[in-house]
Amino acid sequence: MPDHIDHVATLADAEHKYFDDEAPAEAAGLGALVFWLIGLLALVVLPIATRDGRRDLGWFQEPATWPSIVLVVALVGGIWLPRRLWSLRGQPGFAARALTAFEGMGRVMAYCGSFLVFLLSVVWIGFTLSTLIYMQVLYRMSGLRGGRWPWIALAVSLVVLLAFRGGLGIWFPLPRVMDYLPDWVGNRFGEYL
Amino acid sequence: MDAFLLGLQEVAQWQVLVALCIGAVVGILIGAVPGMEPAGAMAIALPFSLTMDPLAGIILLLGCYGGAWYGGAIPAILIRVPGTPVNVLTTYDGHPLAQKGQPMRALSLAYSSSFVGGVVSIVALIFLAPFMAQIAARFGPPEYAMVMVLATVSVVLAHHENIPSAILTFGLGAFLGTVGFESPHNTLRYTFDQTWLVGGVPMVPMVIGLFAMSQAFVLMETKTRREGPADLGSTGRFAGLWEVFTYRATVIRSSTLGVVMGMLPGVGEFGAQFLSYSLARRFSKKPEEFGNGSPEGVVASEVSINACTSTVLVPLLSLGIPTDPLMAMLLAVFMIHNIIPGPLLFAEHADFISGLYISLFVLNVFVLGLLLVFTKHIVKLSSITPQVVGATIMVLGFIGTYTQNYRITDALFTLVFAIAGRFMLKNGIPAFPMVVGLVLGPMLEQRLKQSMSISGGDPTIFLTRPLAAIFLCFALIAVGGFVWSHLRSKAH
Repeated sequence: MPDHIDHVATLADAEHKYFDDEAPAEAAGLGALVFWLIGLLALVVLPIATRDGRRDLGWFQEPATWPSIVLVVALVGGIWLPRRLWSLRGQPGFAARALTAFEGMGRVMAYCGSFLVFLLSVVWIGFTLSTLIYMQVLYRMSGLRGGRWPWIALAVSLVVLLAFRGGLGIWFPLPRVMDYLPDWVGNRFGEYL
Repeated sequence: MDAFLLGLQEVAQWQVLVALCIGAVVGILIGAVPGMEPAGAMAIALPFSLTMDPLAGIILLLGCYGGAWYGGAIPAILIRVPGTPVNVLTTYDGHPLAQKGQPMRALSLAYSSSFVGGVVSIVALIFLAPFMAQIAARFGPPEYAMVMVLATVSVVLAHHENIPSAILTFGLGAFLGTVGFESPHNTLRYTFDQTWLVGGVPMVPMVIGLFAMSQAFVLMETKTRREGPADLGSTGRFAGLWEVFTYRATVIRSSTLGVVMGMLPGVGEFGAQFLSYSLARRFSKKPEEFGNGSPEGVVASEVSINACTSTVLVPLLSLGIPTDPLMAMLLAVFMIHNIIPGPLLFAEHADFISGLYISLFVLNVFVLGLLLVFTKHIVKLSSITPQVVGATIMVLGFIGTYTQNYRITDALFTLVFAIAGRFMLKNGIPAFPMVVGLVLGPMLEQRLKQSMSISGGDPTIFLTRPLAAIFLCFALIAVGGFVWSHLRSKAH
């Protein structure tokens, strides 16, 4: 069993003799390359992202000094990763294995999209209604459909709402939809939404 | 004695006791449910802890942290899935022991081992933290800067299988720490005229995104379902409780390792556990039993894990240096209440420190009692549907990130870091150094600037000040040692 400091165990691990979250070297290299390029981009835009100091306090006090040090350390320390990817490029199935770095990210983007919609819906229709709907959406997206699952989603939503709105008294701004409704609706129901 | 009584008074506040209970319960549940890490639970609890009294907020987070290591043994023993990453070695012997029809013996042995490790760790913290603080009182900016360099090296080397990625993510984290307002010139860096970036990259959305939401994505895509664990049998719940004391040498060795390694940045429970287990096997009278249900193996693993839980606080309390993301979260709670960790903390907030020690002890007793009484109910959680946990984390993550400042941009930060976190998890890129970089980076920058100002721009100040030079030497020795062992293993 590898000594994985970053391994997140799931139930699926019970089926395997070893944790099988080892990424292929090509995928790990491509994944690291993405971060390396972000670092490189940050270094390239450094001259326009920082200004010179107003007084001469020495080079070490210049606003650009520390970002350039950490970025250079990051890029030099991490250069081995793109180099390794480059050295593997001739192997059969290289591209396919490298692209597994992005495997499953489509689903992640779908969840993120739903989270954005949830975010907007909290602003517009309030936290309570949004949570009740969003939990149902998440259950459906993750494959928990039909049967008892909608009811479980409802129960979990209610527990969350009771715990945070009722128990901890977490406050949320009045939903924007109230701007288009008579004042008495907002006054009466606003604090529950 | 006065400090003890004042500490008791602090702990006796209802907010502290409620936070302790909630933290402990959440921690145990997080540990018992595979797929959720203490870092994720602490990330979600962090925004709420910031609104509490300092001790209550701290103990809520420490409850999540400490309770998880106890609870993590449950799935490790019953279904061979470590509840948290550090419970890996508990599966080696705990699960075979359970399969031999002694699950309660294995569980109670794990609990009592954890308890012994936890108590030893608190005692070590009580003695070591003030001692370290006395040494730290002599520190100036160059010494602090070099301690931070040593901490950085240690955090990076802890990811010994992926050093380049750890350097890269630490550097990027430190870079993110430079975004926003800068001193002494009072200019803006990397804000591109966006007012929402002036305050910098916020830590709460970052940790929620990297540790909680990214785990939620993993859980939402985990399709495996398992039946609940086998019957716990008729053996009493106290079956293995006292057995830990029959392995005195292993307890002493493992707790010492845990205490020492807990203080080393980035090494912590994971390193302590592996070293402790292999030494226990080497010195055992029955080494052949290791991996096949050896009670001594369970003791070695669990004692060492929990012996780290309090000593990880030593660098934070005495030096004010967070050595991992969990400590960075605790530092955020300290800072929001204007409590500055470091040498003065022990003199200025003796009641708080005393209260912290007492509440850590109460926490361990409470968790042990809770587990012994409710184990049969808690084990059922081991087979909870992962998607249910994942969906709940998504909503809790939103509440945690949005309700802190009611800024949509914070939620968007969370989303960006959640995507990054999932991508990193998928490709074996460590996320921990990024958070350490975000927190440690600006502190290191400030100390380096102060040091250079003192010396008039002469970098030899780090060599001419003895303590700073010693820390720098340690850092260089650690790097040199790693390079040497790496080259040696390559040659073989």
